[in-house]
Amino acid sequence: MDLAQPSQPVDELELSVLERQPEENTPLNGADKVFPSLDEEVPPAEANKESPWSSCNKNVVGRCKLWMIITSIFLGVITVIIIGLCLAAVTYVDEDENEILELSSNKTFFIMLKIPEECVAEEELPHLLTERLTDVYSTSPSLGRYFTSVEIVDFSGENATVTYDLQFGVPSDDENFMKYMMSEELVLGILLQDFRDQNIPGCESLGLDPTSLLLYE
Amino acid sequence: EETCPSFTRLSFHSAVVGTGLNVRLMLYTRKNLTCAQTINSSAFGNLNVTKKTTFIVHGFRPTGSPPVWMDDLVKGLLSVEDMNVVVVDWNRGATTLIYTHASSKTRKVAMVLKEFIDQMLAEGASLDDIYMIGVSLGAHISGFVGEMYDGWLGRITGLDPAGPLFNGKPHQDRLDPSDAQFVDVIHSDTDALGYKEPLGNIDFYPNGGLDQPGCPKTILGGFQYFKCDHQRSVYLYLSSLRESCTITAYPCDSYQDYRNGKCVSCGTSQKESCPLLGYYADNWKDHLRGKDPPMTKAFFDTAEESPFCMYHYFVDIITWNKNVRRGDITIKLRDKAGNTTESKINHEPTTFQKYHQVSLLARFNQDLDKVAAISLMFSTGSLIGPRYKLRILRMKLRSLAHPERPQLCRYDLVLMENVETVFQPILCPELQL
Repeated sequence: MDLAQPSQPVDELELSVLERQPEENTPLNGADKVFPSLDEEVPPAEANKESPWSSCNKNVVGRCKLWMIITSIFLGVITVIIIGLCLAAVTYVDEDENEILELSSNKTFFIMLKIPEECVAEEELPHLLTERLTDVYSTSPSLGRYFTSVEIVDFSGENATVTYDLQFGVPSDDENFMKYMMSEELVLGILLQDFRDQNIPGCESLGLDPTSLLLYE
Repeated sequence: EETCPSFTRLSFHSAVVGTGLNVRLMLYTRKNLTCAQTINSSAFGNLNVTKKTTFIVHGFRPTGSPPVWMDDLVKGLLSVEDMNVVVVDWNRGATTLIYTHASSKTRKVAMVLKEFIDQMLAEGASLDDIYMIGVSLGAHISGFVGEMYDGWLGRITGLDPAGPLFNGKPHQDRLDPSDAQFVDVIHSDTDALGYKEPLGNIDFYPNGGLDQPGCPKTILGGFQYFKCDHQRSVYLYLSSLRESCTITAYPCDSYQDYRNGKCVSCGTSQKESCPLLGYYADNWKDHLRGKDPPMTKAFFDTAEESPFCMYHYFVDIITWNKNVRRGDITIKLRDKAGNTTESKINHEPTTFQKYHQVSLLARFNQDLDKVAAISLMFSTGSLIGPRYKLRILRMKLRSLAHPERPQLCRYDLVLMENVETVFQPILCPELQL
């Protein structure tokens, strides 16, 4: 029985040896196929030499080819243009906001406000109004840079009116400026619409009646 | 006849074959509002020769179908006045695929009408009371009739008189101002099917006489693309027969001048009114007496659909930018109830110079009686580049149709380009810049 078993492995070894021999044949077949392909490569090489685009694949500098250089230049130009446009938008300086003014003269307006019944007794009102007027004119896009100050010039308890003077610094010898920017309509209009946009707490009707607000110079 | 005669209904097959001319006259009066009577030179039916008689003459019918607007036009006319309305049914003759065949029959139709009118005159009618409404080719037919009466016909209204084969013709070969005591014309398709030049005492050019709002702009819009602009003149006339709103036109040298707001005054004083479009256009007849020749062009814009009325406002803007700004303004109005209406003033860029007031003509679809909020947007149309600002000293809104309304103002605005700025207007103070 023991002698029988060793004989079987011997048979298996022989089988495996026989199987390996076909594997060795395969590379030989592959090698045979390689040679014809090498033969076929010769005509494409000739075609490459004749191709008008062959110059694009020639190395110009190091590994860079001609088409790479052309594409890079093209993209570079586009990038420069885009960056230029972005910079133009970003670096644009609004000439109206950075205007340097020489305010050598003064302009005074007087505003007389009639205080509504509902808030006649409010003692802080004249002060609140001073702050309000200062805020309105100092933040005005058109008049803010010219506005100087606002002060109470008269407070009449009997008439329930309060009068302020508005001081503006103005450039001298600018006729159109005085006509348009320092016009009564503009100065009054800015105040009227401010009262309309937002009233004073506890004094809601202040300034809403156009006849209760008088501007003169 | 026991049954009511109806407008001749033909088919596309008839259009392909072509039709011989046969003119039928169908009478409508307030006595027979919905049932026509067939009349001719020897049978007048309900026609009362002492009343005004209006003839409706249609044009080229490439498909043979009755005009869709005919019934509305008849009812509309009878609703505004007690008159005789005669529908001139020449569908046999007008129905053909070949336009030249239809247009070559126009003088024959005019001759038939002359024979009928001659008989009316013999029965006691007056030429002053003869009114002809002609659509497309029908306008020139009306002109031929008027010419045979040396222009003593009472009135002719041409609704987009046909352009092909008539453009450039001398006045005896087309409708012209001497064909009646008053000739008014609506040009709604001057770049295709309509006549280009003025033909009447007053020529109305809605939206410049070119593309009409609400009409398809490309052939992808379907069959309407070919006829919508042309047909709009009829619907504009129809809207004048209803009382919902009136369309005012503005005599002007050009559409561009009208859009620039240069022609909103129609006389030496503010109270003098502008001509109305449509049925009541002849109220403006006396204004033309002083002119030689007595002709004028009037322009207006319309909404996209019936009743087509637009409401005109002026937007006066004074700016204080140091440098000149150029761009378009879009303005929206809103009332307390939340209704909004918008106008884009973009027919040409507006130039804003420091301290110069610019008056822009804004047109809105709705007429808001009390404006609670306004929004403005300034745009230059450039996609790249710095965002400019428009610095406004004062904006004033004033109604054109209702000058008695209070003017609305806003001061000291800065409009960032392409950003909508909303604000509450105030009543303009008495003080003026």
